[in-house]
Amino acid sequence: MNARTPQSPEAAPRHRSTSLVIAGSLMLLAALLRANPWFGSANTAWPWEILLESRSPLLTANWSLWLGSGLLAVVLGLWGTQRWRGVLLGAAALVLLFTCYSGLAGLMIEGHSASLLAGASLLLAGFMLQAAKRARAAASALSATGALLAVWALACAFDYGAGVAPRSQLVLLSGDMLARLTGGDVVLERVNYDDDLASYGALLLACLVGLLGLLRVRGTLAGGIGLALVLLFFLVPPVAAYVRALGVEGFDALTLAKHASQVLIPAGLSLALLSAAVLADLAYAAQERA
Amino acid sequence: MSRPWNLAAPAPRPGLGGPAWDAPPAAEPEQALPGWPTRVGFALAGLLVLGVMFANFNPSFGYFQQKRGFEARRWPWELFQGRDGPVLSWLPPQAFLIAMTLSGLALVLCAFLQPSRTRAGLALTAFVLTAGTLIASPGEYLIVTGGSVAFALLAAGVLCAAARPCPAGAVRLVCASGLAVLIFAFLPLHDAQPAEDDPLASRPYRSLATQTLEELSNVLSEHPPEVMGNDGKAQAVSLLDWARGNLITLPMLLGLLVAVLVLLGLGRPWAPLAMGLLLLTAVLGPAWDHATRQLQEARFALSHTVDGALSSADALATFARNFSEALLTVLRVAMLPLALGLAEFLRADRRPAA
Repeated sequence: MNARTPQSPEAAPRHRSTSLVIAGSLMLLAALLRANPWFGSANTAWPWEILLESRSPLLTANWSLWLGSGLLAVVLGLWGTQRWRGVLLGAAALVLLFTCYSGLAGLMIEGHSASLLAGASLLLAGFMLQAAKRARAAASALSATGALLAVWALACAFDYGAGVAPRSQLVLLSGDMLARLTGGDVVLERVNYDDDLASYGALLLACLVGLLGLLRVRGTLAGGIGLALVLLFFLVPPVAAYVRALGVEGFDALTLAKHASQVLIPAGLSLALLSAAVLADLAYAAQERA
Repeated sequence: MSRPWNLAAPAPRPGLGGPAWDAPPAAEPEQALPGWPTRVGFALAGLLVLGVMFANFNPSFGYFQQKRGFEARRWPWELFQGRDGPVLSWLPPQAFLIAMTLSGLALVLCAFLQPSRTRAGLALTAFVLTAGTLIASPGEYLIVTGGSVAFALLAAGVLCAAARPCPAGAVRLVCASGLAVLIFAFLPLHDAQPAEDDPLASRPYRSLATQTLEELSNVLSEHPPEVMGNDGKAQAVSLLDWARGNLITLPMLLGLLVAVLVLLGLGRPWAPLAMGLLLLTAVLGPAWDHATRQLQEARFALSHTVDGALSSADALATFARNFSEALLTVLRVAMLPLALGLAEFLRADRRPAA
């Protein structure tokens, strides 16, 4: 995950962070997929044109923060010192986590609640460290905290259906997953409900792997499995939707851009990856110093 | 042993005083967080969380999700009692009750524990439980909620960075959270008008900080704005009124000032005390102000009816309900556990393992 660059002993430690570079690149890619003159999924102007022409300060601030954080993550991931990049990118990720939930912000996260996204980010950070065999204690702490937060967020998210008692998403999804696995009947809550079941199933399995870290069941394999499961959580619904669209309409750049930007921005994958990369970088830096 | 909670920070360098990170670490005795203020902080945080829980569920004025039809006018333990015996169900009242009870009890327990990583872990778990329950839908107060979280992190950083020796990561936490507080303070607030009216219409820039400063300049001008008092007469807005109306933003801006002084090495020994007071102001101030205003309004409204006056019990219920509601808004009730727990983690890292 991190590759050390040779330095003189006096210089601040300088590490390339592949995860930061990937997260930053995906943020920039997401912005370009969402706004470009050819196949922009939401806007036919370039992101910088949106910035120049926007008359809403909140929209300007949100786009600036998004693009600035992406660019900064790539630059600091490649050449930055560990000493200060966590400060800058940590602050940016915290602000983005809150602003991206505003409907007027332009780059809105719609797929998951803030606490679920925070839990998924912690899980990702823990699994990244586990997979890279870095900062083992920190990796376990991060993935276990993320698992607790994600499970608690699902348990406390209630569906208020008309005429029925509110149902916890955790109870509902677990019951339906079990019914699907045992061949029982499932009341389809919404269109493509099976995609959601698969996605949340992956997240719950990832939480289980995260909690197993507390019992010292950890390592490269556990980290890799956990990482894949969290990525499945984000990727399953949009990829399944894209495959269905591909069968009906055939390949189309606009459809591809739409689905790719869907997973990167509204589903929250870019922001979760950035937060996770920053957390992993901070934990790794602490371990290096210790 | 690796130290996961240790945010990245430069190793302390030998120096001749100056900035916080220049303190020579080896020559001085280790300092824990101040003893009794921390205990009082944990106890207060626990009591606030438990108080919020009892304000939501009690036979007198319990109000938990009344609009959705829940019967909240009963004691918390009655939620688990049916006509035919104990009832186990997982509904919003039970989820809220369990989160608040566990968090509150954990924080009260923290007040009796010695400074340790266990205590820090308990406090942070209480924060995760509370925030996980409350932040599920942050709603319209996103910027202020984010500002509260960032300010709690800033408080944790300052509480540690001003101590000697400066724990690893504290300075960096002050910088990161200070930057976040600054961004939140100047981030444009939500537009009052919905976007459907005219998406291209130019909207004026408004932020927490500019709004506060603009109001201050108006109050200090020759013709300060006037508001209608309870007696029906117009009154000029005073500096105290301005401060009361900005009890969310003022601690954030003053906290930034304290953080800058700490980073310049001017923060000892007053900075933790000042930051503690600012944190308490940010947590309790807006809630107190909101509750007293609501009480005054209720008294005023009732004085124009046949009943005439608010009984002491009703006044207390009105105050407690509004105080509790304001504590739940923008995660205010979770700020103390976050700040104290994180500060404890950073400090615990500097103490030799028992």
